[in-house]
Amino acid sequence: MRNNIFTILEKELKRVFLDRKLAFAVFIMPGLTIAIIYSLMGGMIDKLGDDAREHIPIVHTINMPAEFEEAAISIFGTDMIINKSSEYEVGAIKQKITEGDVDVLLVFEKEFRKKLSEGLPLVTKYTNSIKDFSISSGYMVDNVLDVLRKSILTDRLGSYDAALVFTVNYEDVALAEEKAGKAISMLLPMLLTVFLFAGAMQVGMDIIAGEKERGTIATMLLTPVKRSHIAVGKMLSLAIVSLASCLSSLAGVILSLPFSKTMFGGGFDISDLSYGVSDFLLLVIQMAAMALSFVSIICLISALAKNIKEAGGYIAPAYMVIMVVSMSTMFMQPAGGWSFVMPIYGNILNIKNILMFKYTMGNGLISLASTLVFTSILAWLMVRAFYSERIMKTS
Amino acid sequence: MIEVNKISKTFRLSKKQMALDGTKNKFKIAVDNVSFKALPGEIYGLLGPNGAGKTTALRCISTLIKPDTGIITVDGSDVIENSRDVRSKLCLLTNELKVDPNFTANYLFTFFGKLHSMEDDLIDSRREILFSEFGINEFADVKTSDMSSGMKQKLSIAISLVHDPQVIIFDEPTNGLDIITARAVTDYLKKLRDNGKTVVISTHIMIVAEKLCDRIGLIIDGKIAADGTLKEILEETKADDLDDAFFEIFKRSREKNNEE
Repeated sequence: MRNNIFTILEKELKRVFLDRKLAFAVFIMPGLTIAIIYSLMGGMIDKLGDDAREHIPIVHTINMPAEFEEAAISIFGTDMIINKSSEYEVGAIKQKITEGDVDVLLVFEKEFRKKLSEGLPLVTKYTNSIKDFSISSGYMVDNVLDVLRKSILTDRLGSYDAALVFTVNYEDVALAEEKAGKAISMLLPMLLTVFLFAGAMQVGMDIIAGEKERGTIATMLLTPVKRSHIAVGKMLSLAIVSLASCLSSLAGVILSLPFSKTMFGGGFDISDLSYGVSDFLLLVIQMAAMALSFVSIICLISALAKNIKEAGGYIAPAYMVIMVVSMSTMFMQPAGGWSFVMPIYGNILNIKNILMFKYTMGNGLISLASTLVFTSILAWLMVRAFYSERIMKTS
Repeated sequence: MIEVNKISKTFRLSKKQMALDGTKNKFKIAVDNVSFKALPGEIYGLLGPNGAGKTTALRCISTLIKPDTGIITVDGSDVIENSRDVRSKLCLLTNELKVDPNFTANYLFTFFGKLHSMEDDLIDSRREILFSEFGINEFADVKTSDMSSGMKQKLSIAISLVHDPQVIIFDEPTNGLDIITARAVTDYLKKLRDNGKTVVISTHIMIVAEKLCDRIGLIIDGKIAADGTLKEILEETKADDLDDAFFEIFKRSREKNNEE
C-alpha cells in the first residue's frame, strides 16, 4: 500500500521538479519576486517619508503675527518658506494648494494680537488631504502654532507650567522582541496563507483535472492500485509542492526585510526578531497542516472538474474566500479556544501566535486535530469522486 | 478466460447527447443482456457498428465501469467483487488511453511496472522484450510530448502489457495506426494468442475481424445478434463473406426489433 502511494507521490514530484520551467515558476519565482517587489515597495515607502522630511513647506499667511514667524524660524530655520499674503488672495492661494503649488494657507483673524486679550481669536489652516507634502507641511505648521501657543501662555501666566494641571509620563513595558513579533505578525500570516494556496493552485489544477483532460488518468485507474492510494499519493505530492513553494516565498520575505520593514509596520529592530529553531519548526508544522487543508480543497475541486479550465473557475472563488479569512486575522484577536477549532482559520491564528511568541501547545494541537478531520472528510469525498464513472469520465 | 453473463448497462444522457442522438429519452441502453465467452488461446472479436455497445462491454470487463446487471468473471475473478484482482490479470488498450506527456518511455514503463507491484529485474526483462518487439528502444529516452502519435501508440501498448497479463482487451486495435504499425500490432496479438493468452478485440472493420478473430460476436443495438466462428456465421447466414453475413444479421436484427 505505502509503496503504491510513494510511487505516485514520486512521479508527481518528478513531474514538477524535472520540468525546469515549472520548477522555476513554483519554487524560485515566488521567493525571487517577493524579495524584489517587497524590497522595492519598502524602499518606496521609506522614500515617501524621506521626501516628506526633505520637502521645504511653502506656507502662505494672512494677518500673521510677528511671533509666528519668529517661532517658525526658531524651529525650522530656513526650512520653511513663509509668504505674507492679503485677504484678497485667499481664493487664488486655495487654488494653488489644490494644485499642489502651495502647501499650507494660515489665516489669522484680523488684529490677532489685540483679540487675544478679548477672547479666542480664530486661526484657519487650509491643507490638501490628498497631497502628501501638504499633509506633512500641515503637521510642521501645527508645531509652530504650538510653540506660539506656549509663548502666549508664558506671557500671560509668567510660566507655561502654570497652564498645566499635570504631566503624563508614557512608558512602554512591552518587550522589544514582542513588539517586533506583533509588527511582523500583522501581515505575514496573511501573506503565508495566500502563498500556500497560490503554490498549490497552479499544480493542483493540472494534477487531476489536467490528467482527466489529457486522458492519462484512465491508464492509472486500470492498474490494480487502489483508487484511494492514487488520490492520497497525488494529495501528498501537492502538499509538498505547496509547502516548498510557500517556504520559497517566506525566504523571499525574510530576504526583503531589511528593505521592507516599513511595509510590515516598522517601529521595530530586525535583530529583535529572535525566533529559535523550535519556532521555525512549529511554523512549518502549522504551514504543513494548512497546506494539507488547501490541497484537499484543490484536489477535490480538481477531481470534480471536467478540465483545467473548469477547475480554475471553481478554485478562483475558493481562493477569494481564503484571502478574506486570512485578512480577517490581521486585526482580530482569537475569540477563545474555539477559534482554533476552525480549520485554516485556526492554523493562521497559530502562525500569528508563533510570530508573536505567544504560541501554546494546546491551541496548536486543537488546530492540527481539526485539520486532520477536515482533510480526512475532503479526502474521503475525493476518493468517492475517483470511484465515480461519471466524474472520472470512464463511462 | 472471460465469461460475460447477461450484462446490461444503461447511461443517463445529457441534453447535448440527447440532441445529438435525436432522442427525448434520458436513458440509453448501451449493452442489453449480453453474454459471451472468450477462451485462452483464442482471439474473440466483438464486431459491430459505431455505438453498438462494443466499447461499453469492454470497459465493463476491464472494471472501468460497472454493469447494472449481470456477472463478468476474468479467470474466475468477479469484476465487481475482485476488481483489483481482475486489473492485475488483464490489460485494456484503447486510443483514448493516453501517456503522460512529461516523461520518457523508460520512466513510464518503470512507473506502471511498479504500480503492478513488479520487481525491478522483472520490469527490466519485460522492457527488453516489449521495447524490441515494438521498436521503442530508439526513442526510449525521449519525452512522450516529443513523440509522434505512432510512437505514443506503441508505447501505450507496451505499458499496458508490462505485467504480462493473461487477458488482453483491445478496443479497435488498428484505429489511428499506420499500416506498418497496424500490422505489427495484429501480428503481436496473434503471437499472444499462440502463447495461450485470452484476447478480446472490438472492431467495426470486417477484414480485421475476418483475418484476426477465431470467434466473433456480432453486436447490434447493444445485443449479441450472432456468436460463433467465421465458418459457423457464414453457414448460418448462407453468405460468402463476413461483410454479407453482417448485413444479413443486421437486417434480421432490425426486423426482430421492429416486431417487438
